Amino acid sequence: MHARISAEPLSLSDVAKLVAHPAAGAIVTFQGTTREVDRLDYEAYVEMAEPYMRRLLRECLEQHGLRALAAEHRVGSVPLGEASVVVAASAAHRQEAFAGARAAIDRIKAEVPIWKRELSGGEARWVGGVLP
Amino acid sequence: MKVNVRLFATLRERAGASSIDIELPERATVDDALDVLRERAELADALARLPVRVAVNREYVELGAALHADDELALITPVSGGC
Repeated sequence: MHARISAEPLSLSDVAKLVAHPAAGAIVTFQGTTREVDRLDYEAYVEMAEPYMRRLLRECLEQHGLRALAAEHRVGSVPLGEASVVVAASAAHRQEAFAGARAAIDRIKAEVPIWKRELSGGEARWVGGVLP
Repeated sequence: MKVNVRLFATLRERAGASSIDIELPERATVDDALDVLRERAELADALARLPVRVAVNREYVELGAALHADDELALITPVSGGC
């Protein structure tokens, strides 16, 4: 189970490699990308976010019968077009892999202590989110 | 007893600090800590406006949870990870 908070650019192909397995016939990947604003600044409660994300991925893996699941979230400034989050799920078949990847990104967004601030046209504002 | 409070995003900016120490009576709960924090001038407005979830020692807890000396309490305003 791979979960990481990183200040460096994220790589979808790197997380996909982490979940590859001879018994996995399907790998689904997801990338969330900064759009429509100049940049996003992410702040995380890293000491909690990383272990929480790892446990959340473990639960998604068990619920959806996945072979492996990996996710990384970026912190700091993420310019337009770069990835802020990447997820990769592997399973024997595509149905489980799609459902597991979807559950993982939905729960990461709703539960992990990470906040983003939009910067657009010289103005900055914290984005309203979901109370975990 | 002393409890360390971690602040993030809006609350961190309002407080001008990413962590503050507060003094609480023995056997205080999370709810008691929130009452103390709501009385701090720099946090009062934001805490009146924003809902918060609390984590103690890096686990989400309910308001009635007991606190102990040197606990790390984090105020988690609505989260907005992802895109």
